[in-house]
Amino acid sequence: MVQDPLLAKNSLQLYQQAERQRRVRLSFWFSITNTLAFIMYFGIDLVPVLTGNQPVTLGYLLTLLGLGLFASISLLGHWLSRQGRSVAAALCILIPIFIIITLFVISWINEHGLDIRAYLGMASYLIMIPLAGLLGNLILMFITVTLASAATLFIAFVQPFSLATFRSPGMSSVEISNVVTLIVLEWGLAMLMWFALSGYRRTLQELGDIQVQYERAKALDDLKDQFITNVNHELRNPVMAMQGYLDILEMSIDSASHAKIRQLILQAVQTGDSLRNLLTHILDARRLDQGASDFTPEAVRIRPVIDEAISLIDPNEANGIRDLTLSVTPDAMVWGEKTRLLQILTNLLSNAVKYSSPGTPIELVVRPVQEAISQQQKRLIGKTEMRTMIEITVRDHGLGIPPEQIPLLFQRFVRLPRDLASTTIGNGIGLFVCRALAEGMQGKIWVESTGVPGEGSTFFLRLPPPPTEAVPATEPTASVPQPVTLA
Amino acid sequence: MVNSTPITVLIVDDNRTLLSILSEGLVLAGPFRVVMAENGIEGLEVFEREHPDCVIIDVKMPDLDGYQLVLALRGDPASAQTPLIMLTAMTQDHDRLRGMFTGVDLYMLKPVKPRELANAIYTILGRTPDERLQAYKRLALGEDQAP
Repeated sequence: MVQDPLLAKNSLQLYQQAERQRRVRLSFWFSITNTLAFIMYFGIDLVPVLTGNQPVTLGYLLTLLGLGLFASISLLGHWLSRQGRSVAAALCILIPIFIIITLFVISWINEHGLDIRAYLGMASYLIMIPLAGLLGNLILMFITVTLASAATLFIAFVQPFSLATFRSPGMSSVEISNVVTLIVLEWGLAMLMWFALSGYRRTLQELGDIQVQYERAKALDDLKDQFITNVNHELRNPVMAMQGYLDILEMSIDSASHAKIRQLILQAVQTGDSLRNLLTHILDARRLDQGASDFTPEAVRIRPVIDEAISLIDPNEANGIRDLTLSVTPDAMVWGEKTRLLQILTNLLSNAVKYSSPGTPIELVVRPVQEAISQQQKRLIGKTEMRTMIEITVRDHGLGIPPEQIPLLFQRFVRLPRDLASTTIGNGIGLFVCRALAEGMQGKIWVESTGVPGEGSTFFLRLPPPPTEAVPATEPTASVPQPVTLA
Repeated sequence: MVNSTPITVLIVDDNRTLLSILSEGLVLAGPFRVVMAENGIEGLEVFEREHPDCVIIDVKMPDLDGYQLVLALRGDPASAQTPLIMLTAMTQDHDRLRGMFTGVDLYMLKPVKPRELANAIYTILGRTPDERLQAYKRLALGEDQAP
C-alpha cells in the first residue's frame, strides 16, 4: 500500500517506496524460480538414489546439502528483500546462480571441451546482469558484469578444474573471438540496462513529483473550500445581528427612549467589534503565511500573560462559570515574545472552555521539564544530553479528540468533523497559528487525548527558558481552585 | 400600527442573540406575537402549546436539526399545513433543494433583517394553496426565493 502522498516528504520517498515494492515482488519470483531450478539441477542427480538404484554415497549427501544450501540462500534473499536490504537480497539470489552456472560450464568443458554449448553456458551469465540491476542497484550490476566477464575469461583460458585437459596457451582465433564477443555482449547488456533503468527511474520520480503536487493541490483546494464555507457561515450570524439591531433602531427611533436607542447602538457596535476580531484572526493566518515577522525574543514572565489571557476570553463562548485550576512555578519565565505567548494561551484557554461542558474543570499547569536534545542541537549546543524547557499544559474534560484525528487539528483551516456539525464557533485557523507561533519561538505545541468523552484533551506547549536565568528549583505550588467567572 | 389580530410566530434558533433580535424586530414590524425555542425538540413542544401561525426555523441546531424539525412538523396533521420558513447560513444549492423537498415554504439566506422577515411572513400567510404550489415549483427551479 503506497503511503499517503501528502505525508511523503517528497516524491523521492514515493518513488523509493514503489521501487521497493517492485523489488520485493521480483525477488519473490526469482527466489522461487531459483529454488525450483536448484531442485531440478541437484534433483536429477538424486533421482537414482531415491529410486533405490544407487547406494547413498558421500557425493549424494553433498548434493543434498548443496540443494538445501542454495534453496535456503534464495529464500533468504527474498526475506532480506522484504526487510529492505535489497543489495544483500540480490546477492543471495545471484551468488547461487553464479556458482551453478560456473560449475555447470566447467563440468561441460571438462567433458566436451570448449565448444559452442560451453559458450552458451557462459552466456548464461547474461541472465545475472539485468537481475542485478532490477533486484539490487546499478553498482551491483556493474560488479556483476565485471565478475561475469572475469569468470568468462577465467573459465575459457585457464580451465582450473581439469588438470588433464589443462589448456595450453595459445588459443585459436575463433576461441578468442568467441570469448571477446561474450564479454562485449555482457558489457553491452550492462550499458543497455543502465540506460533503461536510469530512464525508468527518472520517469518514476517525475510521476511521483506530479502525484505529490497534485494531491497537495487537491487537498489544499478542499481545505480552502471547507474554510470558505466555514467562515462564510460564521460571518453571516454576526452580520445578521448587527443588521437586526440597526433595523430595530430604524423602526423605533421616533418612539424609543434615549436609553433604549443607546443600548441598541451599543449592541450593534459590539457585534461589529466581534466581526473585526474574526477577520483579524483570519488575517493573522494569512500574515504567517507570507513569512515570519521579526522576532525579537525577551524574557517573558508567564503568570501575567496567563491572567491577561483569562481576561480576554469571550464570555459568550465560555459555557458558564468555569473552574480553572492554576499551578504555576513561581517566577516562571520563557524566552520569547509576550504577544505571541498571549495569543497561544488565549487560543488554548478559549478552546478549552468552548469545547467542554459547563461545570467541567480546566487545569493549567506550568512547570520546568527536562528534554532530550536532538542530535542537531547537540552539535550546536555542546555535550549536554538534556535541557530544561518550560512546559505549559491546558487540560479540559470535554469530549476529547479521537486519536486518529489529532494530526488534523494543527492543520490550517481544519476543524474536526464533529465540531463542524456542532454549534461551537470556530474557523479552524487557531491551532495552526498557535503552532506557527510556538515554533517561531523555538518551542513545540502538541495535544494528547484518549478520545474518551469526559477525559478531555491536554494541550502541551513547551518553550525554552531565558538563557541566563536559572530556572527556580521550587516545586510548583498548587493553588486553591480559582473560579474564573466568565459568564 | 394596524389593529389586527396578532400573528403568532414561532422562531427556532440556537443563537440566543438572534432570537431576541428577531423577536424584538418582528414585534416592532407588525402585529406579531413571538414565541421562541432554542432547539428542535423544544420547538415541537412550543408548537404544541402555542399553535403558531407560522414557524421560522434555523438549520444548524443541536439535538434535532432544522431539517428534522421540518419533517416532524410536516408529519403531524396538526402542523402539516403550517407555513414554514427556513433561515440558514448555508449557501449551497443542495441545501436549498433539501429544504424544498422536506416541505419548507420559503428558504431565506442569512443575514435577514427583521422587517424582511416580516414581509416574508405576510406573503406566505397570504398565499392560496395554488400559489403555494407555484412557490414550491419556483424553489425547485432555483428562482428567486425571497418574496
